[in-house]
Amino acid sequence: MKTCTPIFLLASQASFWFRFSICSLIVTLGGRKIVRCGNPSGREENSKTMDAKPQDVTGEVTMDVVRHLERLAYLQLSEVDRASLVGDLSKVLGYARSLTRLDLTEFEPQTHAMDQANVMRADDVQASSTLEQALANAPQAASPYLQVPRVLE
Amino acid sequence: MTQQENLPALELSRRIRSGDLSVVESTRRSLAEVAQRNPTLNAFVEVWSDAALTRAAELDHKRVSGESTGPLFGVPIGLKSNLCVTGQLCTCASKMLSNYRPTYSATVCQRLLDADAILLGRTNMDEYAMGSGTEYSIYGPTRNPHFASGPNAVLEGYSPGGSSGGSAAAVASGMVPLALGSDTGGSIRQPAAFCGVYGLKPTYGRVSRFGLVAYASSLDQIGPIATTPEDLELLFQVIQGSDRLDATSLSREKVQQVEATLGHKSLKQLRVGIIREHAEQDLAPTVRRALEETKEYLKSVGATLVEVSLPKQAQAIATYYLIASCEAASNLSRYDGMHFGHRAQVPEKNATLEQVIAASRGEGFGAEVKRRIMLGTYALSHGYAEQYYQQATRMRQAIRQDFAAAFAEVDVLLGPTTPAPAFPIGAHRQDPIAMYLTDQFTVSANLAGLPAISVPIELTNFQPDESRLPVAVQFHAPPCGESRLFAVANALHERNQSAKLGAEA
Amino acid sequence: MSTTTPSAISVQTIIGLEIHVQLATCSKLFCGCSTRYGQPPNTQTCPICQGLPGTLPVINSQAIDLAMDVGLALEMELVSGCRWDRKHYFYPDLPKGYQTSQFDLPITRKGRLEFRDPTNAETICSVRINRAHLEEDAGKSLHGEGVDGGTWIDLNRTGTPLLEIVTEPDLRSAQQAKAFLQQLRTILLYIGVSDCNMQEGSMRVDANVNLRIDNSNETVATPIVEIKNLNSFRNVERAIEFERDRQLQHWRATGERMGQRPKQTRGWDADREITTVQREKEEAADYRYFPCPDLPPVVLSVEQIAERRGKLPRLPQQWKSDLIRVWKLSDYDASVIVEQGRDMAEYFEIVARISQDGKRSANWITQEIMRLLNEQQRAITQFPISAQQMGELVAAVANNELDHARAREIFALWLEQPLSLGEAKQRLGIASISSDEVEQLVADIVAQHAAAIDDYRQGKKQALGPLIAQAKKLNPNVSPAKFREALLRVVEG
Repeated sequence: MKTCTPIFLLASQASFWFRFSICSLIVTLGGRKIVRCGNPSGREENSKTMDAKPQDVTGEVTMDVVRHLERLAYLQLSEVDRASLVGDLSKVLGYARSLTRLDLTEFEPQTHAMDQANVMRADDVQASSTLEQALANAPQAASPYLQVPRVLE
Repeated sequence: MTQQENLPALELSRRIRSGDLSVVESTRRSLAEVAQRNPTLNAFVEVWSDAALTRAAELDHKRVSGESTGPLFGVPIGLKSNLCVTGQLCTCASKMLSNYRPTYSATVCQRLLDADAILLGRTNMDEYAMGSGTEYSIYGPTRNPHFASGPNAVLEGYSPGGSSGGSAAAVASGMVPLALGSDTGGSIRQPAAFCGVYGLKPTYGRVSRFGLVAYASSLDQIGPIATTPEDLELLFQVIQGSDRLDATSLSREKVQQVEATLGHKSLKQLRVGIIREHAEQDLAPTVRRALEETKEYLKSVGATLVEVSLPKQAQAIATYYLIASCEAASNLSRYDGMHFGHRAQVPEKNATLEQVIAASRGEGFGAEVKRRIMLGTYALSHGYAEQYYQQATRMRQAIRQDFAAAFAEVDVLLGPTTPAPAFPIGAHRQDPIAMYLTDQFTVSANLAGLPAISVPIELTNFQPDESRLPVAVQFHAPPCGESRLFAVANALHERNQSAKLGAEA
Repeated sequence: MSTTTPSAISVQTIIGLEIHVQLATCSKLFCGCSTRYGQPPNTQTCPICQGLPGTLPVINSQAIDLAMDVGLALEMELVSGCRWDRKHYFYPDLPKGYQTSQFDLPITRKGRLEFRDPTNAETICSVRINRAHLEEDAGKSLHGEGVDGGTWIDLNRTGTPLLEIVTEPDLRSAQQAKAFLQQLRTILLYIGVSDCNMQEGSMRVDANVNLRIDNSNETVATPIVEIKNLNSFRNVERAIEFERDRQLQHWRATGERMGQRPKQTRGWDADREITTVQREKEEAADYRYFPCPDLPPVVLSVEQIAERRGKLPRLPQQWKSDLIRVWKLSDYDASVIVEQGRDMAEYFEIVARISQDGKRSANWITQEIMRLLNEQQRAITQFPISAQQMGELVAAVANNELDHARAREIFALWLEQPLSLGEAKQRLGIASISSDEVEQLVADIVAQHAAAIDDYRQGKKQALGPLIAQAKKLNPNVSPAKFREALLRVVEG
């Protein structure tokens, strides 16, 4: 294993440029004979997930959908917020509906602005924050720890 | 101090270097200007007077002792409230971050300091940069300096645009010659257009995002706002450049390589694309005339105008709002009231952690931020990600390809920055879609990662009943084509100067 | 394992494992903070791993290299163009509100690992590896420590690189699961990608367990239970055994099948030796995975993979066959040495190379050294006698310069003091003696023990033993073998 020496230097940034396609190049390694122990599990047929989908058959955003999103996003809303969001989300999603109906399969999804790849840093240790800095913005601290409300499992 | 004495940064820095003006003097003038105009405009939300004057004195000492001086020597600059400076509040105009003091500085802020600039304070914005009017702010709305007071003032005033409305208003009112904003869907260009100043959204990756509080990471870029194209370029040159702390920043070699393939074009050789889809939109009369006058001028200096089509333009707004909201919902997950930011006091005993987090977020975020978190959560949730988020990313690809095709024909694209000049404060408060549509010409540059500039246009004449609010046009260039944008803007700046003289005559 | 129960049903335990391995990088996955274990709380964090607004991650290239090594060692496909995804959930030890992980394009996938079935030595088990992906670790929560029972958070571990290795549900018994993990650990230690220290959390195991019950008329599966954070191989084994019994009992009582309740997460209570429910949600978690816009993908080129493959350390299986082939060790001895880890195998190789006697080297190591290390709970790297010294000692025995007993005296002295072989011999008064001296000694012994000599000549072969012992007493430096030889010449001559 490599020895870890902290060096407080700038790591040079290696960036290679080429068009990146989501279609991945698979490099397969030389195979060997497989002797499987036990029987095939048969677990695959049971990988059905409990569906958490908000009901949206019509595309209408209902109060139930808003409440579901509120739970997902850990975002407490007032009744007034909820009521206006039912309308606002319906309007915005209605506006986006024409987009969802287009056949765009010829276009690869573009999740980043630029076609970059392999921008990495060397494994160099840099200085960490002081304890004081680390706790500076904590709403509550019990040095040397951040403190948060009781976690009920 | 009068308006005429508000010098552009280049000129101010030149005078300071020559000894005509000390940095302390210049900083005091800027502070006085803020003191006089800010109560009306609410462009700055915090002024770092002591730190600025201390630094000014240090810079004066540096000059007197003959040390070399940086390119922004002594120039006061306003920073949007989403840029981190060690030890200073960085609130994003949100209750969530009202007490947040970063323990590190943004790369751009460090570069400003290295260039000997004075960080004068931080400017107002829409909460977390989500908005187009600088209205959704815990500090209240910023007013557009145009018609903010005087005989033509409207009751609440006009919006300076947003989300970088504080920075645009601060520059337009002469409080500072330069300011930084951030542009995710037009947040530099639209307020620059509304306030009559220059604003640049750089190529994605040319300016490091390290230390910019993220709204939508694949769209956000920091950029300059200034009163002249020269100043705009000066500030851009200081902040741009590869950063090892931002994996999406472009390497120097890459930028140089792309710039070399773009080459240099004189105005006479320039092929200017006119975006057909933009011209077909419903435009305010003064905006339409600004476009026409720009075309006339470009033709008169020998440029070739070519009509080009960007067929997917109609989908740009929906695409943008889906992608931006998804990224925002993700980026804003970190505000849980546990490690930094607002934590709600939940009275119930045995409140669960989930309740405390949800209450902290519910109290800490404003209405527009909540709206986008909800939209983004919806579009990324199980069963919908394919239909909404992924579909939007495919459309993003299509829009980028549209631009690539257009840039095979032309060197820059010309269109409006906004469909209309500034709207009165509060005009879009009830209708999010109407508000989103003010960004319809600006979001595409963010989706495609392109540089784009907003250039104010002095109209040569006005109809008697016409609004005298500033109007602007926008130019897009291919990636790393900023120098083309500066060249066009410089030419139009000269034209504006003569138009102004003509109007005054 | 199939167990036939009185009511003639057969029950099979179906086990899949998820193993989190901390990669042996110096700095964290996305920032330059040190990954050293056991530092004071919240002193190994920076704005990036604290998740402060405005910060951005940059990938540690060493983590990519180590993940590639695992992929190569487990015969997996390396995915060129692997991507980073954000997995969203709220928890106080996760400052960003999402974990940066790899979802649909992990760095490596589809491999397998073979090992000997502990319950049936004839069978070689082959477990399919579904995938191995990189992700960042979370911080540490200390529950109920603060005022009002609040939780304390230490973010030192936040952002430490982990490789999560996920198997297919191919394991059929707790013993197999344990043997699989031992084999995996040995491989990971040989290629040096992790210290696999389970006490320090560098290797953590979750087990997905359910049963397949064959009734006379149908086959049913019980709901899958995930047992979290098993921190020793023993706990893995015990927890799976417990869960097998519990699920069978539960099924008999309720008849509940897979799909009739959501996946349950249980924790292993090592004190009470039971699993307890940790979480059971009506809704499956919706993590809203999405590609991290801050991190460009990693594209592995064919050249890069070939280069890494060239640098891959020898795997345990190769070591074993090398020990058998080059040093003529038995399968058993080779296994014993290799299973001790790469340091031990390397130690052996040096001893064997210097002594040119593989069998003797193996005996010394498996009998003397490993016994001591076991007693003292120490690693070979902490052993006071270097492989070079050990090699010289074994060589001296092999060349008949030392007898085994005197070599053991030197070995014992070396445990106390770092001396050269010469110094140790001198200290113990070990000198080589001439054949004249040996013959003189034989003459003396023959003269003093006429009775014993007669006994020998009349066929009591064992009568010579005490004479040899007597000779060693008179001169400890005499080689028993040489003395015996000279004595026999006189007695039989």
